[in-house]
Formats: sequence, structure tokens, C-alpha cells
Amino acid sequence: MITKETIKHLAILSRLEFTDEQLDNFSHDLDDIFNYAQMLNEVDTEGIEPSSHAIPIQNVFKDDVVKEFPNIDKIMANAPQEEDHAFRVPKILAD
Amino acid sequence: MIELSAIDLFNKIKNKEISSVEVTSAFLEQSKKTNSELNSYNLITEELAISTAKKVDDKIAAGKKLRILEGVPIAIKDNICIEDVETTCSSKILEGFKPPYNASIIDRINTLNMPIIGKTNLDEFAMGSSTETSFYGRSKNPWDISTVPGGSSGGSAVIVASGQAPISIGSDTGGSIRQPASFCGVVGMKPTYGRISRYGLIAFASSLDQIGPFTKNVEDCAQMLNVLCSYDAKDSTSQNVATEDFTRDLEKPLKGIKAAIPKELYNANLNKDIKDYYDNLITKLSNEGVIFEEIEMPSLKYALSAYYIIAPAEASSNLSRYDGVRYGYRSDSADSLIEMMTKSRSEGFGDEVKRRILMGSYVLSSGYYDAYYKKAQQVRTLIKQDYKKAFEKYDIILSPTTPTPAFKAGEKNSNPLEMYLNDIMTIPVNLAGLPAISIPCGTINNLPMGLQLTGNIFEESKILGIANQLEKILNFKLKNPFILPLQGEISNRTEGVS
Repeated sequence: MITKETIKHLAILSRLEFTDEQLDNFSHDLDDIFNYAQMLNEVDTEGIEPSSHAIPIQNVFKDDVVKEFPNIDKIMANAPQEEDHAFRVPKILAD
Repeated sequence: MIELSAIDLFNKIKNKEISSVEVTSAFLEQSKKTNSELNSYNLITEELAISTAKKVDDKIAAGKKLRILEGVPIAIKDNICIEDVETTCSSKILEGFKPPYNASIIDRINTLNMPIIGKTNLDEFAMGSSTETSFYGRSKNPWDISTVPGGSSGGSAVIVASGQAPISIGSDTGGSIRQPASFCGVVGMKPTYGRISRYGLIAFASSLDQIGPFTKNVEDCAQMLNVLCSYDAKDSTSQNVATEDFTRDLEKPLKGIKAAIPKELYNANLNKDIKDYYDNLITKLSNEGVIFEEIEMPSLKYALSAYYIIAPAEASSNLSRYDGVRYGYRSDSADSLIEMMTKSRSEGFGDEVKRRILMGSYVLSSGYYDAYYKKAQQVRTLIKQDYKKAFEKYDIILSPTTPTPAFKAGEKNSNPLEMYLNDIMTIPVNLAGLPAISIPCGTINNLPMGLQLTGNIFEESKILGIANQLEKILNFKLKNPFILPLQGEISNRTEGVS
């Protein structure tokens, strides 16, 4: 059972905030969806390896070489607030 | 001209019957004319398109040989990065974002001098089946503007179906190319996972996402795969397989092809009218020499449930990067860093994206991981095994692409689960990483229906060969009011199906 309290907790984990009405709606939606997904319990998965990918995927290693990125100004142009090629943010520690 | 296939347009350019600038201008004109009604583009990139077309015309003037599809215009889904061109994922949170680099497929398209006409509308972050969750408003289906074009690559499907570009690019995580292709009466293909580089495709669910083309016919699709498929060191999931010419099997005869129809997709999910429609179709194709057999693939019944655990889990992780720090939307009403991130995300994401983030956080949180996420990944293994077994005996697996034709806008918005059920035929394919194509097979109540052909890993050429032969038999005509306007009809088009 997914309640408003569950959604409040998930909101903190997900860095989201909701009005009371949204908490109601999302708890109702998720409850519906995970009730449907309960059918997975019918499946016998004893001893079945989980697949994280569809086809076998291996680590790809690259040489550890420092390369200059030519478009730093283009990266910084997207920053909401920028100062000397650094991203400016509000204060990190509370007063 | 806008009704022509990409290959026909290319041949006309090559033979100097018409210039690339003329072709590109014709599609730009159609795009500008119809976009206000269909809302299929987030951005039309006229200058970029014309400057590329001019390069092609200069090349022709200099007597140089063109490569196949050179000079033919294309539209790109707005979740694929183009350097210096706004890329939004149809989300408020990426409004104004101009990537500092090109996706690898954009480099390939640019090398081939294909004029890029614009960025196409999609469900926000590709999460949806109707293009209704876009921050920039819904796209409309050219066959009946009161219905949805499907999604998430709805804009890309609409653009090919309404003659705004002869080819477009989409991405497919659970059916996001094949389902809108089916709803709009065009060809859409999702190749094998790892065939096309995902570098520069903004991630939704990384183990499922795959780029692919929309075209008017199967031959164009095969030619476009030749452009898109290549190993790319920048994508660690890119598969290093030998290059091949995807047109090689196009003229192979159909006779003796063994097609499996999974009961789990065919019987359980279709109402009587639609079942009758496909039964007739199968009889017709049997008469052409295709051998059909119904088979059981018991795990497919659970694919939708597994998908709506796995995809949101990956999405909630992928979308954690949108925090208002480095790019995109930042809320200006926050005093601390955490508050800024929380408010930026809450104000920047739409409801469907928030719903999926919550679902993902739920299935990954302690206490639920084994019951949901691990269980879903085990079911994914069973799905792969069922497909593997089927391909030991059959050439392809066949099903409708969608359980219904295009539905009305707004019809499924209040019930997310009902919207998700629309992808029941396409989702298993992504979980298994297989290649699949949707080709238009006819209409029901004047709305297109699609046929989905799924093949074994890396067997795109075989699928395309079979699809090409089926296309000849089915003889579907792309004739909605936008691509073949009848005299006087364009100004007083009416909503609804008569």
C-alpha cells in the first residue's frame, strides 16, 4: 500500500516537493501501478540470474589521458550563474 | 514533391533534376505551414538546413559524386544533442540548453550533408505514449487532429506522415518509435541495442534506449540504417560488429518464411474488431507463402510490469543530474543549495516525469529492491530466454504494433496505467534488446494500423527484407489531408472521423 507518507519520503529522496493534492494523486497512481505489477509474484524466478542489460556488456577501459575540452565557454554559457569558469550556487550550509 | 520517398528525392538531386536547396526549401515551407496546426517541431532550423543544402549543390556543381541520401533533409527528435542548437527534451528544465557538442549520429548525418530541418516534439524526456506530456503542448496526428500521434517520438512520426521531412530520427525505450509510426502510418524501426551510438542522446533508461529512423517506406529505412549504424568508442554499450549493407535482403522472396505469433500478445490484448482485422491480414499473407504458427511465450505477459520497474529505476538515476547547478532551469526562490535543487526540479519537471522518478526511487529504496527491481531483472532474463527459444525455430515474430489505432487526445491522461498498457506489444522487445520494425498495414476507421516484425539480435537485414516484401503486398497509401491536400480542403479541414 502506497500512502501519502510513502510519497513524502520518496519526495525527499528524489529532491522533489509536492502540495497535499499532488501527494494524494501520486500515492493513488503509484498504488495502482504497483498493484498491477504484483503479478510478477506469480513468476517462479528461483535460481534465475537477473539481467541488467539485454546483451552482455563489458567494461570498456580507456587510457587515462588528460585531454583539453575545446568548448569550455559553451559549457559555461549554459550555467544559470557563472563566475570565473565556476558554477555559482546558493550557500551550502544553513545559517 | 513532399510526398516523395527519400531515395526518390536523392535520385532527383543526383540527376540534377532538382537542387538540394529546392528540396530543402519545399520541406521547410511545408513545415512552416503545417507546424502551427500539428505542433510537431520544437524548433525549425532553417538557416542550418539551407547552409547544408548549399554545400551539396556546390558539390554537384563541382562535378563531385554524391553518397546515398546526401542532400536529403531530415528532422531530429529534440532529445538528441546538436551543437549550439537548443535541445530541450520538451521539458521546462532544459529550456534554453544549447549543447556544447554533437551526438555521434549528428556527426554522421553532417558528414553526409543531410540538411537538418528542425528539432521534433516529444513527450517530456521521452516519457509517454501520446506526446501529450510535452511542456510545449501536444502534437497532433495528421490523419485526425483530434487523436494523438503516439509517443514519445510523436513529433518525428507526424513530420514524416505529413510531408514535413522525408526522414526523421526518434528514440525508442519501450515503443517510442514503433508505436507513433503505427499511429501515423509510417515505417519506424528500433535496431538491436548497441547498433547505433547513444552518445549525445539524452538518457531516459540507458539499458533500453535506442535511436532509430522514421521513413515513408522500408527501403528508405534500410538506407538510413546504413547512415546511422556504426561502432562508437564514445558509447560504452556500442556493439563492435561488422558493418553491413542493410539493403542486401530487400529483394529476397517471402516464400517459406516462418513467422511466429505469440498468443500472449495476440489473443489477450485485442478486441474483436481488431482481432478480426489481423486474422484477415494473416490469411492474406499466408496465401503469399508466409508460414504462420501461434506459439506460447509465457514471460511476455509480465513484460509490462517488469518494464515499469526497470525503466523508472534507471530514469530516476539518470534524471538526478537536473539540479539547477550547471545547465537548464534554476528556481530563483531558494536560499540554500538543497532548497534550490528541490525547487528547480519541482518547478522544472512535469507530472509524468515526477511520477516516474517517484516510481524509480520506490523500487530502488531499501526494503523494496529485491521484491521489485531484482525480481523485474529476473523476469527480464526469462523474456530473453523465451525469445531465444522462438528464434531457434522462426525467422521473425509478428504482432500488431499497438492494441488499438490512435486514441483521442485527453482520453488516457487521467489514468497512467491505462496509458502504459498501450505499449504492451512493443515493450518486450526493448527488454530483450532486439531489433523490430513497425510497417503500416492498413486502416481501421480511417486511422492507420501497424504490423510489428521482431527479429533476432543483429538480424536487421532479414527483418527489412521481409518487411519490404510485405510492404509490396499490403500496398498501404500515405494519404492524410496534410500530405496530399485536395483542392480547397486545406483551409476548412474538420476534426474527427466521419
